[in-house]
Amino acid sequence: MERRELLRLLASAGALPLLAPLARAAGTDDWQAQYEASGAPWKIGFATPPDDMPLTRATVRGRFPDAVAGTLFRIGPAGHDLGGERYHHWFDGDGMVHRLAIEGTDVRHQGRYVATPKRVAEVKAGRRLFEAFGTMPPGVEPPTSADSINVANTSVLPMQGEVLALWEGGSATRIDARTLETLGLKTWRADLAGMPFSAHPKVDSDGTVWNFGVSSGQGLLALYEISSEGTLRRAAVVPVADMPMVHDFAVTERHLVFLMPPLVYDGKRKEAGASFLDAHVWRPELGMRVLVVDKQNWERRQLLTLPAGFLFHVGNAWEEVTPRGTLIHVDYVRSDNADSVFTSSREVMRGRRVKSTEPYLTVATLNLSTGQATQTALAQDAEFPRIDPRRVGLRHRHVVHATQIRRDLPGFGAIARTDVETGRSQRFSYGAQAIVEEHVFVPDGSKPGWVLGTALDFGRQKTVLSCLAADHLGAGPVAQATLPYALPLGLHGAFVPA
Amino acid sequence: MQPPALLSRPAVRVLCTAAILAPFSPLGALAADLSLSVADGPAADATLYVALYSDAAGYADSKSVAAQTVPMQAGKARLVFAGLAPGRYALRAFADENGNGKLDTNLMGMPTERYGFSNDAKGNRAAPDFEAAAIRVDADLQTIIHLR
Repeated sequence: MERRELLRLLASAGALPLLAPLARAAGTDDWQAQYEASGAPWKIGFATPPDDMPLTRATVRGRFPDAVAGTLFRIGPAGHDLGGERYHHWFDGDGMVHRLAIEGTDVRHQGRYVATPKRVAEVKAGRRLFEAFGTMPPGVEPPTSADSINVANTSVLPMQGEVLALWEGGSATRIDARTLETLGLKTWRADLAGMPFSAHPKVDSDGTVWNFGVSSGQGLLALYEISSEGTLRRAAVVPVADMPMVHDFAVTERHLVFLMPPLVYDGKRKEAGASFLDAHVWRPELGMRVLVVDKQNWERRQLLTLPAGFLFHVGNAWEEVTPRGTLIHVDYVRSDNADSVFTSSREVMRGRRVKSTEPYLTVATLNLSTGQATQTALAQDAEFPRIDPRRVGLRHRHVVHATQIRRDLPGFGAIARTDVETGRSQRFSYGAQAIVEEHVFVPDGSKPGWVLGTALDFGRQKTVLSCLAADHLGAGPVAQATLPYALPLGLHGAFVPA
Repeated sequence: MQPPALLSRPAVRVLCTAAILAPFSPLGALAADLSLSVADGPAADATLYVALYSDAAGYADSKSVAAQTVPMQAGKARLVFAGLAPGRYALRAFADENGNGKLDTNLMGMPTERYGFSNDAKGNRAAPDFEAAAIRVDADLQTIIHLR
């Protein structure tokens, strides 16, 4: 769908306020009041910016290295409440895309809500009209398409002068990289309109973009191969039994690797009125299925099994041919079950901290010749794993990740760089008044490179952007920009050099 | 999240086949005219396909009792099913934007052209059933479908 389509959707949204009395009758709940009453000092990370955030200069300490001159694009759920109704899950909110333009001692921030058809219609109506990932607002009708509930809030993929704002249940949304203006839905090919396009595409060392999409209701997995110029090379759908929640994947030189946690979609629960999240059932008897797909021939697929566990994110995977067989090594952030997505990520929305199963960096080895799969947990609690973008699908040593779970705070307190082969790790802690967001690795030729990312300093109610030497994380930031305000805690980002 | 199954592939096929069946107008003393307005079609010119069903079995099997195609301009079209015997009817409609005579779908079977049902009925992640879309036609009646 292109701009024309979006405009048409926006125009048709005018009819929706007619349904308002239906929703009103269903009443409201008290999550908004509970959030407002919460005394948690960190709750500002889940506040709703009332409007777009115009370009604003940050205060900079130190000087950002030349290698990180450019733009860090970030995105995350930001529109958490509307019309006095608050979403019940962190992942529900309307996406806000951010750009942090970096040049030496000058850092500027701009934030802009993605003008999805959903957001435009709901803001116009002054209340929620559609269901969300983890919330069924009262009186909503079944969605007419995946993109009618697309919140474009999960990740970004810079491509050909645009930025694609990614969700995972529907289309990518095109954003003007300079103005952050929403340009419309991305349609890779006419017969792919409205298809799920995950938030974690992988860009190969040759620039090829691989991605997937999950249709839970139909038990279908879409696969995409896109050239570095942004043109679609191939797309197909393959069936998957007992379709689980799959948020991320990995590529190697010859394979696509899907770790499939036993959190399985149950269409009957959905029909009975459950949110998309609550329509999923934990079925540990399935184990963690691992689907390995031949990159060149998608009909060649192999299924292996790891012990049951849950994940959102994969760091990287690579493969090697050994006398013992062809091995794929994949590191990911594993927790024993999916409890946190049902509890911790919900309760923060009313300013409550509920501890849950903790995720640990885990390295698995898949033997494609024997079908055996094994794994080892490293002693690093972790989330938001990122690697050197030049090493995607190749042998890597280091993963940059958030770490340091605190008992009384959501999220993480430190950023770490861990060697997945030796387990050695170094870290920088942002302190007891901060929540770390995703940091990315920025290469600097043959030098060790940089780690760039944001953190919420809720003590000062400000968001900071830091650059650290990748080989001296413990030394702290070489440069830090402090915004004059706090941003809502976001999800993922991507750096584009100037 | 998953796209709701608005129209399964069979349902899409049903709508397409129905549209090419010849119109059928039962004559009788009690005949009524059903006037249909269709709105929210594509901005560009398109052809509107509309199929009329008189019972749940026919609806389920895509055996329409009448079908019409009319030009759609600026997202709007009007047409009349004349001389209908009194009873309950359901309508399915879609706007053919690229002139290939069918409701296009993506690789997962989801419609990529605009469609709608009488009563503006919506299914729960599937096409609505006959009961949801049925309208009573006892005398001349005007109705509207908003495509989506």
